[in-house]
Amino acid sequence: MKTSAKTPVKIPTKSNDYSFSGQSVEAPALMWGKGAFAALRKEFQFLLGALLWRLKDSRSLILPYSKRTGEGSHRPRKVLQRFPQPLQPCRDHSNKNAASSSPSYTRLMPTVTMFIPCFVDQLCPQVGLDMARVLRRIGYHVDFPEQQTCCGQPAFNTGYWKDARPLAERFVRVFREAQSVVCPSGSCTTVVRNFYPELLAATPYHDESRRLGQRVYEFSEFLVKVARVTDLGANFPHRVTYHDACHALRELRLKQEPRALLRHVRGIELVEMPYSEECCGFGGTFATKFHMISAAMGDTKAGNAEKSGAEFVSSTDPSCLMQIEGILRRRNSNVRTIHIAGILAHTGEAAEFTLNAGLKR
Amino acid sequence: MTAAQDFLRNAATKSADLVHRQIIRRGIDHYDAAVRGGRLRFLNWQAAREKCQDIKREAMNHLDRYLEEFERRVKERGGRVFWAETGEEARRYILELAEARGVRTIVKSKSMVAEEIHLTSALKKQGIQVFETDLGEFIVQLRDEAPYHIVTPAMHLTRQDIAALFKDKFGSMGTDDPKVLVATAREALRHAFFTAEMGITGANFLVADSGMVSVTTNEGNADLGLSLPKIHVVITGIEKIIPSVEDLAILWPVLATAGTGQPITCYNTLVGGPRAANESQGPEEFHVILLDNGRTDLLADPQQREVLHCIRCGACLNACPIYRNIGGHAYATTYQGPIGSVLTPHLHGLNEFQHLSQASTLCGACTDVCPVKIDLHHHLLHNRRNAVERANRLWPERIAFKAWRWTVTSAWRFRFVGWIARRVLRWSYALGLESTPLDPLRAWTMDRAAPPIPATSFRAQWRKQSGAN
Repeated sequence: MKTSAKTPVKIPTKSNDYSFSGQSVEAPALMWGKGAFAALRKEFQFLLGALLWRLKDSRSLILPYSKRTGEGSHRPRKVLQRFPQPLQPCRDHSNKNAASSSPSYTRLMPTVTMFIPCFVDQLCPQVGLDMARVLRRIGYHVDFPEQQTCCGQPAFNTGYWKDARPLAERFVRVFREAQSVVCPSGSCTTVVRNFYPELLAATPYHDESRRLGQRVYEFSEFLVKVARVTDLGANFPHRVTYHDACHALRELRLKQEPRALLRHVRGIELVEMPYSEECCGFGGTFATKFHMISAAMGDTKAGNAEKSGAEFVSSTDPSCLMQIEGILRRRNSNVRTIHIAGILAHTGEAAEFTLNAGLKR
Repeated sequence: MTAAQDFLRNAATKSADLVHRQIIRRGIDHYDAAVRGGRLRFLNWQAAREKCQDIKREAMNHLDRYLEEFERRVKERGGRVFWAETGEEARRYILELAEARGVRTIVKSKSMVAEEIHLTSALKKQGIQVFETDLGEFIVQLRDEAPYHIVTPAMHLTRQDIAALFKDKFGSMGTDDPKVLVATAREALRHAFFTAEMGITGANFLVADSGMVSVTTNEGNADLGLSLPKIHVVITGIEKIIPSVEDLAILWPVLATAGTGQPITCYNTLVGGPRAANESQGPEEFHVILLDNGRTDLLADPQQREVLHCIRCGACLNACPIYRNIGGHAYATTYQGPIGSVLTPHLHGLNEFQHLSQASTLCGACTDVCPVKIDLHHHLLHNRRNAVERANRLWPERIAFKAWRWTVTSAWRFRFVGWIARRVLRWSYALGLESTPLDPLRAWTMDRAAPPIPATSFRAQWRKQSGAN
């Protein structure tokens, strides 16, 4: 598989990069005036960088194969990757017949396959990177099948089961070989584990989806129940409150697992907010169809988060955090959100970090 | 204006009403504390829920047998049983009965089925005076409102509101001392109890093996209403049946705990017929109206049949974060909250009431508290699926999901469309278009700040890392 890593990859994460969605430096600012010009400049820099990257890649046309692909890597040329490829199941690294291209020691490491939900992929990539970092830290080989897209939850929850079904089947095809699948979202895990068997009833995928569902874990659930680790060696000297995401809490029954992980973080002060189990009001299409109810619910949640005196709201679901952070920003609150993977991945100090400067957009 | 537009407008008004939100929150906080204590009185609350679920499942699976048994027993004691297929039939039966007996005044205890068939307004149209005798119902009737909640109909009112109302209606002193307020209401109602010729009650359970109707109240108003007037009419849905009188041993405490947090409600009465020859008191006539009104259609659906298990305790309403924000009146239905959203499309048409199933975050708080373990939020999902299959939907939505499906069935298209979309969003936010009409995420940014849009997706960054090796 093209994503198999030779050595644990160093992930360039800035120590002050806190937000669940991983704002990167090149994110454009949001204001008129000089902010807009700076943003445009950054955007231009980004495009230039992308262009140079392509140019660098195009050297591959004249370089020998070993040079242009990198030693030991079996990645096809960048150009080829632009085109649709046949679906490939991710590789089972414990399998002796696994391709010899992966270095021998990674075959001894247990493998987890990452299932990155579509909105995490597009809107909060940092969550996925943080998760990979944590999993590697405790000795897992992390795999990411690039054929994955979306589990079908948007259509499924809105009632378009016919449109969700091909997605579910696709999911089963992509992940059928995986030993264990880890997802940084409780609600996407719920769909795969609890709803796929019903969605795929009377299709050839039903039995397989049921078996696969048992191997799909929410991130904190995987750490505590499968890897049996609660201390990840993280350092996060801030006051944090935990919001119980509905699907993680009531469908997957995860209440103590994320809290156990958070309690073991160095320097953290874990405080409970009132009504931590109440829904934040996201609910997928609900957030836009009934935006006024959703905003009222989010407002209640944000108010409770502020009442707890925490600097950060954390949760297992980036979608809930997107809603809570959106509301908090509109309230001009100092409280920010961070996905639990972001806290667990964080090992540095927080000295240079200040609440208002930390989250440039 | 359709029901959906009505709902949207009401919900928008109510969810912005901070005072309303506070009143409801306070009420539900009291309830929560009581229920938390109440559950501790059970050795095993989960086992009690399972037992209740079993009882109701048994009753629903053999509904025909139990209902006929109930009818036989009631008839043996001289009561009458009327099977009403629709609300219209039930209304007509009561109206004709009232006309035949020359009824001028009716005392009614709380009955959601009576609300469901709009009985009170039909009776009033015939010139019959109807008194709601449940204190909460009495108050909302004075205000000319529908009940706000299945169990606590005047939950949205403060003591001061009620004091002002009583001052207006009865010319009382305007004090908000609860004792004085209750005394005022009692005085008004006592008179009605003694003049009424007919008492109408609902039923909490119909006991098949003894042919008894179980009525539960905290105020004893139903007991006066079913014993003082000459005619007692019970109006209830067919799903209230339970097999045996022994089942009440668990259903009564569970209903009380889930409904109000009490160990058991103050008055639990079993009645099964008119005054017998050797009895000195009681009504001369006893009628039971068994209403179908769409319930058998629900029974025919094996996937959603368990919705009929509902014992109308109101626990799901109190747990629902949507209900806590928009309150009971915004639904504009007889049954509010999660159970209402599940049930109403079956009773009054999927097409008109499909929006209720959409108005949920599927958080599952209702399912967790339901004392008969109805999988409420999964039924909302099923309703949504049925709505897409059978009801009218906006065609742009259908097309949008087709387009979405086309996009995400290929990793290549997903990446490409995602890249374009992120560019569009980044540029529009860089130009300061957030929350303006030109904002592509307008529906989101109306109430919330837009999420920061990253320049590169996860998979691009992942690939870069792997490539760097």
